[in-house]
Amino acid sequence: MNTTEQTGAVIKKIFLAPLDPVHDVALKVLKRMLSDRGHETVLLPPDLPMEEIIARAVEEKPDVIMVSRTLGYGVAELMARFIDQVEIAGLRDKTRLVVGGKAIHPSLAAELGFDAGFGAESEYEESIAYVEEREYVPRTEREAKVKTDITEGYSYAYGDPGVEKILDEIVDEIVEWTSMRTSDGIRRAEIRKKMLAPGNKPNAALMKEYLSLCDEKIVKAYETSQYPNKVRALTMEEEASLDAYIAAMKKEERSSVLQHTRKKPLVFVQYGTGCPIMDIQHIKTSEGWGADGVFHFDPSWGARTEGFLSGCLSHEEDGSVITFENLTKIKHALHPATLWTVRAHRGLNTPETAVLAGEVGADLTKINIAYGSLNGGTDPERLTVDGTMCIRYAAEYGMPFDIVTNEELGGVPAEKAFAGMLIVSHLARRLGARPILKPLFCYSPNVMIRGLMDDNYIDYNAAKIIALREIIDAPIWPGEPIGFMTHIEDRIQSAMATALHAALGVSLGVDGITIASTDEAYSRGPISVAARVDTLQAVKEVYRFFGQARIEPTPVARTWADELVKGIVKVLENVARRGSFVNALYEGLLGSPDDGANPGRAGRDTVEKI
Amino acid sequence: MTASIGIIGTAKNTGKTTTASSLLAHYAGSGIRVGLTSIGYDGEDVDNITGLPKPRIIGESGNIVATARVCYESSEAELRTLKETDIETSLGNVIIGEVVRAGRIVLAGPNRGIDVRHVLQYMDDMHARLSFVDGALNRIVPLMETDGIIVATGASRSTSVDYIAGEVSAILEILALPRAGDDFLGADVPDDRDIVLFSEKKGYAGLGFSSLIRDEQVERIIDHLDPAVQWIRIPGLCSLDAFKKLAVHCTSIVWGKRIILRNPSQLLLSADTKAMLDLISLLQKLGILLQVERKIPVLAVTVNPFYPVFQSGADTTYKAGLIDGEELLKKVRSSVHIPVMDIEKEGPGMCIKVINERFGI
Repeated sequence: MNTTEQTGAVIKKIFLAPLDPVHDVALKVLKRMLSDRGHETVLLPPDLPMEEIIARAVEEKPDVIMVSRTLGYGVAELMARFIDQVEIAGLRDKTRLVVGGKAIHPSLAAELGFDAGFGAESEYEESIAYVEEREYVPRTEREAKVKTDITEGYSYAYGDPGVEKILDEIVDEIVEWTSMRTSDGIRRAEIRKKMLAPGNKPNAALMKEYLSLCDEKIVKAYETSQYPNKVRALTMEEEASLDAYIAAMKKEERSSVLQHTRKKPLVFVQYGTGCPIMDIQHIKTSEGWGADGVFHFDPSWGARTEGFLSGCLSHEEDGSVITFENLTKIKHALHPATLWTVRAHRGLNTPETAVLAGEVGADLTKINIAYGSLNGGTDPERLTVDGTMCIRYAAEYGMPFDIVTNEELGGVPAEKAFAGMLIVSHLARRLGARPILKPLFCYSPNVMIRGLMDDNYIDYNAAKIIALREIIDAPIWPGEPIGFMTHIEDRIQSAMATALHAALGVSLGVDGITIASTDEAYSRGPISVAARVDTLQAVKEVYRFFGQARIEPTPVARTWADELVKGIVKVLENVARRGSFVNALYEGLLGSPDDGANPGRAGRDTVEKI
Repeated sequence: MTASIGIIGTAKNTGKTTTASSLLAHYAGSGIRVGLTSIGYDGEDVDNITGLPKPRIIGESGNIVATARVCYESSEAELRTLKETDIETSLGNVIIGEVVRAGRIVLAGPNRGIDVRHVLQYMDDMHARLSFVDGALNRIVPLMETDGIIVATGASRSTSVDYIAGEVSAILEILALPRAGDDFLGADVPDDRDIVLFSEKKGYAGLGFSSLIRDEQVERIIDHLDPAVQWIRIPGLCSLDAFKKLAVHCTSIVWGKRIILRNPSQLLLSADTKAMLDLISLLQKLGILLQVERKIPVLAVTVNPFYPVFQSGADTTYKAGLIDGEELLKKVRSSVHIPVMDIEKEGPGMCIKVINERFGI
């Protein structure tokens, strides 16, 4: 048996017969692919009489005859006649018959009498595998997803040593200042770590100590099972049902790939319905439609509460309660290749969140002392102490973290937000962690006021990336989500806005993007699964459309990037000059009340000197 | 020994599955073990092309069914697997099963004649007394493996009653071609895959090809044709044009012998059955006998006045249309000499009578 040099498959002789004069493109593509693989292919002229096709087949004895035809009423009878003629001509024993066309599917192929049928849903690879008589491995399996380290390959080297020097000065102060301080948040994190240590049994003394550091509503829940308003524990039946659902999902584990010929950016979505069951449904849907990662959105009241609840809990409003049990269920449900972020970027529990996330097996977390202090409602002093510890835990557990600059959404100009981000990034590097920069692709208040996106949404967003790349060689993952404030209450517009911003991310070669569903822009209620699929499909089309091509910003992007760099450096110099990162936060150097930033109150006066 | 009945149609939606379902329902509970398969795809909810509802097939307890794996596994009837065959289809290999608990089944069985033969053998092994093979579209060839044929025709072939009647009459005449005599059937024909001529003087002359499609093939036959040749055996496809050319030549030499085909389906695959019949009649007038090695009796004709009407701009692209059923029945009955019925209106009684008489049930 002769085999092809290219693949080692047995060489087949294939007739490709377009049965109508126009719809022969797929056959021509197949001819190229099969010939490239070393097979002998004969493309017959379109619209040849069937008897002539058969006459040639009798003479040349192909192994496979592949026909294509659009279907309409009456055409099926013609195709059926063809099958009969092939059989009568004595070809059926040795020659396999394949039909292709947009409307074709296996049951129609069976009705027509063909041995196989491939339609719009089929990949070319499927027909080729059939010709070569080997098992077809779907693309989703061929390109099985593996987890990616979004920080791989980055040196974190600075473009300007002067910038690094300023940051060193700022970070030196932070490290020294925090080394002399602690909080209940840090203590609870230490206790949690002990509780979750391998081999450790439930320890009443530890729990008592833990609860002594918690707010009353947390203590009440542990002692009386009375949960905060709108929170309840899942019933045993609900938990069993959830476990069964997860087990069933695992059997049909499916993920798909959004990216086409590029590997980046990875695509993330956020979940946080409040209910772990629905969260997992959203996650599985998102995975099935191509999301590379998901992140956990927790309720804002949790950030203002000292301590965490326990158990599988449901919450009636936005945000899914962080408990060890909830996180464990979600972890169990995840596809092995899905990257999972548990956020620790604001609130009174950030170090403990990092411990929980690390212990449960999250891949990433989110930390930004500047944002969490200025627009996240947490006291700057408290968050600086806690956030620094949180970064230490992130390093310990090997979890890279993104530094989200959501201050921009409050009105803080990008240069200040980025200065805060770079400080946290440098602190992370000092403490052995791996930070990911997260500028926003958004139509922020400051941009509106300054008219920076009056013409297009491209240049200023591009300027951000250009500026950051000039300053530091670090991974960049815009969010949160991309296109924020450009979406309106229109499903198509919302999908387009996300897709176009994704196209910009692709063009700029960023490492990740966070996308919203089409509901999230304006939803005053639940986010539907269909709305998630909208934007995942839209982004998939972006990858396909662009391939290796890209959007090109105008020269103004360069100008703005230069201005941004200068602005960032100026802010950093101001912070360094102030001599206290915490005071810089309080005094608005990284975002002032005029900008729309206000130091948070949660945890005020709760830091203790050691 | 199983008696097998194939249900062929002149087009899609002519009532093949309705006929099969009706017969199956009749024999349910009769104590007669029935086998069922299809050379197409039958019993689905809606038509693959028109989207209109399709007749269901209910497998009754004790029936033996042969269907592709995908259909077998999604069957609503409870099935006990008897055999997993190596007969391949686009929906997986064919599995033979027994209906344990009645329910709906979707049939997608063997689509080649040789595989139909094997499935019928399996049915026989499983002691099916009767086996029905539901046809597909207007396919005929695989059903030449059965012991009897029911022809289903109707308005989806043509809305002209005259056309329907004329065509089915032509089909029946071709299917009624006489069987080759024992002198031929006992002959030791070398290489039965090729066209062979025989004369007592020269013996067998194989031409190296099986079908009559191209002009040069006709010319090869003519080169060998002389008055001494007693018969030509054509095992493969006979196109109308090639056959015409051969016929023209035959008229010029007044040859007057026999043309033998494997079975009549070889002459039923051209676009114009009536033109083929005219040609056959011409040959017969010249004293040339057309005979077949295998003759399958036609038991009955069923007619269906339904046809799908295409409509643009509506939610479904097709809707149900009807021609005058009474007129259809009357015209077809006057055109053929075997029982004709509208099974949906009249039930399968007439058909059952013919089947039972024919096969001694």
